Amino acid sequence: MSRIDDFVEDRPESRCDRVSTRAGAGLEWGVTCLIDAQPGMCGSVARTDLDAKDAALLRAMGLSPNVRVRVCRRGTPCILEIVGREGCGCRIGLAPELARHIFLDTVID
Amino acid sequence: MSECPRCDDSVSVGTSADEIAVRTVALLGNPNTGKTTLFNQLSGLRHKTSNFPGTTQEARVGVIRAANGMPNGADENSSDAGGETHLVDLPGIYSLELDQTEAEICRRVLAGKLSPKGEETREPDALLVVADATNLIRNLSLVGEGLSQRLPTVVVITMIDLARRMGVRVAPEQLEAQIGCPVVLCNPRSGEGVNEILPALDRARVSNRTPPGDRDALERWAESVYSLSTEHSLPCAAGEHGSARWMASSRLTDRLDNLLTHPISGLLSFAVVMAGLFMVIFKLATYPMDWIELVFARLGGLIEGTMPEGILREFLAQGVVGGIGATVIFLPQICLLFFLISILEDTGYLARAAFLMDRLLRPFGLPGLSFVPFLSSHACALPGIMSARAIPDRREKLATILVAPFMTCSARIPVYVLMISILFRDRPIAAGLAFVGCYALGIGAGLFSALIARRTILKGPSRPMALELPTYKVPSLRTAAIATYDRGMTFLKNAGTNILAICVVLWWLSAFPHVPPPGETVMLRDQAQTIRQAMDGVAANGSPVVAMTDADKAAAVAKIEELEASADRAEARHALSNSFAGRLGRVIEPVFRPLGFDWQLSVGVLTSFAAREVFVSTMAVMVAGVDDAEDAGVRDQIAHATRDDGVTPIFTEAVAWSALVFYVLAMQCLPTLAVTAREAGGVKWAVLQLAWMSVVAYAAAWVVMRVVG
Repeated sequence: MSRIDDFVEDRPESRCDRVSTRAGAGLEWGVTCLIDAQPGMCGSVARTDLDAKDAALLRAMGLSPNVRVRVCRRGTPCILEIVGREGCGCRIGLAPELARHIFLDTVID
Repeated sequence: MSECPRCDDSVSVGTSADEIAVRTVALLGNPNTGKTTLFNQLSGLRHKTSNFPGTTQEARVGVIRAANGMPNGADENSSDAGGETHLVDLPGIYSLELDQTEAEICRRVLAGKLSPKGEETREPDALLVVADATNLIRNLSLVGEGLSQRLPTVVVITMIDLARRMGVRVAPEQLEAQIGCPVVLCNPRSGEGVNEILPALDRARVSNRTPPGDRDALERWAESVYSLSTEHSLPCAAGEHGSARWMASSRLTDRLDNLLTHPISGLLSFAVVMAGLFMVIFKLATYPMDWIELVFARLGGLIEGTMPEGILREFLAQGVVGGIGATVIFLPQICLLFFLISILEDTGYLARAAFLMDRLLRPFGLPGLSFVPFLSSHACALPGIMSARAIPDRREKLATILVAPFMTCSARIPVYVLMISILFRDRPIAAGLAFVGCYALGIGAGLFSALIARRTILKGPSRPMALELPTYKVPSLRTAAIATYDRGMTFLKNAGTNILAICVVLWWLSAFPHVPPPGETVMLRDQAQTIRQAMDGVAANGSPVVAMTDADKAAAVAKIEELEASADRAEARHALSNSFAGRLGRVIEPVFRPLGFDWQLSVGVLTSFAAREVFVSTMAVMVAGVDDAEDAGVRDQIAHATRDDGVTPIFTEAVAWSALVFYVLAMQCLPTLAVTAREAGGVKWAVLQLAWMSVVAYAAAWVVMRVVG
């Protein structure tokens, strides 16, 4: 288990600036399927196993590998915020059929 | 300087003396970047809407005349003064490389292989790429793809006010240096910076930079360009002023999203929004509809009052004015609907509602995006079917087009009112429930039909929905007004061509051949003439009679009017009965007999192919002999009208139910079939739609006749 602060130091590009890191809390990193991700959870896109057409569309919409995201809502639709630099980004709504093929590197409480 | 001649900085558009009179500029950008607002700012109402040939994709071409009417007072000394710029609004896309119809259209337009109908097919003279400053890295990827097209390019950065609030400042000179073409910062909503676009287009040049073609490398290029051309005044650490405000806004958006997409609260808010929308449409539209009706009635009256009696007068007054008037009367409802839809879309609500509806429509094989066509179809199926263009999957789009006419359009309402008033006289609650039931039956039949279509002829996987959810914002009234104008003009164009042609044909069928008036009419008119002579102090044989008192004269005038009205009714009924439409009604009567329809009702079914509401006026003419079904007295006459035997009522309870169900479900609108053929890409789809809806309507009406009868 690694502390969030250590992780942030090691992989600054994965840090979600928009969410308090609650330094010192018992947190660990892991891979979470987007369909299971809780609202407020924050992380980066680890991998996807979408079909080529959907993958290309989502990537063009901004869901690129390692891009930072924040889960805003789970269920139908799953809403996530793509967190660009300085808070720039956009919100994407996804059907659960897509959300279950997207995996995030996330902070697990 | 590049070796490529087009990359030379001196190669620009619209500057040289021998420049072509019209330059074409393609407008490219991601969805939700303010592209449409910018298009509206640049071209205002000077635009035309058509489509890209061979596709159902709508194409808007704005005409910008530099010398007269520069947008927002732009520099009239621009070198292009006197020239004309045609701005082609391309569909919003995320990447030119995607396997999507919209991206394919953009690729072909930029390659000079496709252009909107009416425009010369050639490579655009320049490319205007719109990029959103609040999501610049993603937008720069599309800018990179645009630069690779090797066209003279200008990049417009929008939403700069929002980006500033987030602490991001785009440095245009640095960005220009990075991408190798002019950059304009603007805010299309307020008009800030819009004036600089036309002069910048004069300086448009082919970039001497070559962005990478590979997606990974392109994204890295976009990040690098972003880093080198933006300044960040507010670091995004929690607690800092700008960031805290942004986070608060984000939390508010989270709450609103949760509320509006929740299975319960979302549906409740959707119901409230839709109830409000329809209430506004039906309440507010009443006034302009009354005015339009009055104008067309006066126009018809003017023609009848000024032109000599004859075929031409009948043709103009009844065929042309009557036919167009019957359709144009729905224009206020259609305009209001599209105005409100545009407002809802601009607030960001429609994208959320599409997800909400996706949950409900998905079991029937339809995407959430189908709800906009369905919603529009509740005013009129024509714009409803046209708005199905936004559905990316072809099968889902076809299924939506095929079932959209099941939704209750405004034209069905007069028929519902007539039938329900026959069935539920003096029972307003039951009548109200029946009215709602008609809407529900239409929606249910549409969804059921979509399910069958998606499991048979349109079988295939459903594409799961992925949609960008735009930020919530105050809607732009200007954008809504222009969208309304567009839709209204499309509707009027259709009314003036297809619908007019159909109305003229049906008028001809119901007006010809001319037959001599029946004996009953002659007798009634003779009686009226006799009374008139008596009033003048002359008997029928010409001998003088005792002069009438004032009271007698008033009674005589009333009697004359009654006799002449009866004569008019009898004559109209006789004429329609012997017209081609009447004869056809007798021919097709056996087909509708199992539904309880006699030949008069069959004529009503036939004529309502021009427009459903024509059924009511046809029945008024058939049974009462006057073309004014708004009169409650006439409705009573229709309700109590009898068949040829003079005893059996036309509308027994079973027949009224049967006719009501038939009209809820039947496809009786030739203009809709014409639009279906065009939008679905073939007459076979229109034939299928007609056949399926007719079978469903017939079967349901037959069952109702058996059960109630």
